[in-house]
Amino acid sequence: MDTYVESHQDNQLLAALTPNAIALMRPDLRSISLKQGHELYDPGDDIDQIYFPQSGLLSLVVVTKDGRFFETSAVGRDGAVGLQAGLGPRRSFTRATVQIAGKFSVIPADRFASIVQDDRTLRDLISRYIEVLWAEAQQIAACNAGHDASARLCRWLLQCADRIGLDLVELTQEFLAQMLGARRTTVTLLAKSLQEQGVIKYRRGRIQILDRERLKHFACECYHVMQSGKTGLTTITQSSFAHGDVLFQRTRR
Amino acid sequence: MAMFYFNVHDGDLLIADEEGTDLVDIDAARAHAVVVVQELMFRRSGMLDRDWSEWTISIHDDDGAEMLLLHFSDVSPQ
Repeated sequence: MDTYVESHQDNQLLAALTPNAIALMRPDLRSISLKQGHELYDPGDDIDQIYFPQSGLLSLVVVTKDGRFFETSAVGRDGAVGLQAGLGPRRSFTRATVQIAGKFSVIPADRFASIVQDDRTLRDLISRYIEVLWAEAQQIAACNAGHDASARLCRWLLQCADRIGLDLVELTQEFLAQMLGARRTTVTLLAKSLQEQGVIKYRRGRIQILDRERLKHFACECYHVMQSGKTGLTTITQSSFAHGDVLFQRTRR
Repeated sequence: MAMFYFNVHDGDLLIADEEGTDLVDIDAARAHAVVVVQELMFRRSGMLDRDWSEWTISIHDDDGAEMLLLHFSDVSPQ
């Protein structure tokens, strides 16, 4: 069994490559382990490697002048960080860090760029992925502006779980608070309410999703929109507030 | 600096803050409580269309003693 290829296949982008493309990439594609907190890029850094998560989660954040962090994207098995460098030398716009430790397929950017020149399907992959990222960024911007903290927390937990392929998400409440742009107390209270309803179970640094359907019910529609890969802006209005409410629809287990 | 705990009550059930937050003094704790309430009640496009009339947030010290109580309905958006 060729375990070298098998582990790369855990990443959905790599799994979707043509045999020719994967053959071109294999000599330069390595599998590495990275710990939580490992920094990949700061804004302005040259992108020198492309990271394809097999497990674990990468997060891209904007850090504002007052030192607060705001989520722009979380990338797991569904994507890659730095893929645009396949089109030529590129710099990072955001800070990219390892949010959940895991295994990552990596390839040097200059090697990847020269391979991309030889394979049309790789160029297509990059274009399509960038389009998906753009659509997601639009949705997240609308979500952050229009949806409340509890709906966004539920969406975020589901997306993390999907992207790492596990129902156990190893993230602290402090981190969640930063990603949501909320106070940690707010996250604590919402998490407590979710736990009391049997939706999640947590202890320090670990959140286990117990009732995925109920969590989806509490998440904003952005979860479903982003999951189905739809593009374009969604109008966030009072009438579209049709999902459940963590605080107002509590049932005790 | 001291640990403050922020419990939320909806008139029927309690959501207890078991983590606590380290803050300078009770004034900072009050300001923190106001922001938490804003985050729970509001989003950019306005107040969540819910009945918040019975919701309160209480601030407790390490021993659990209640130091301050705020009504959600007294908090306006930031």
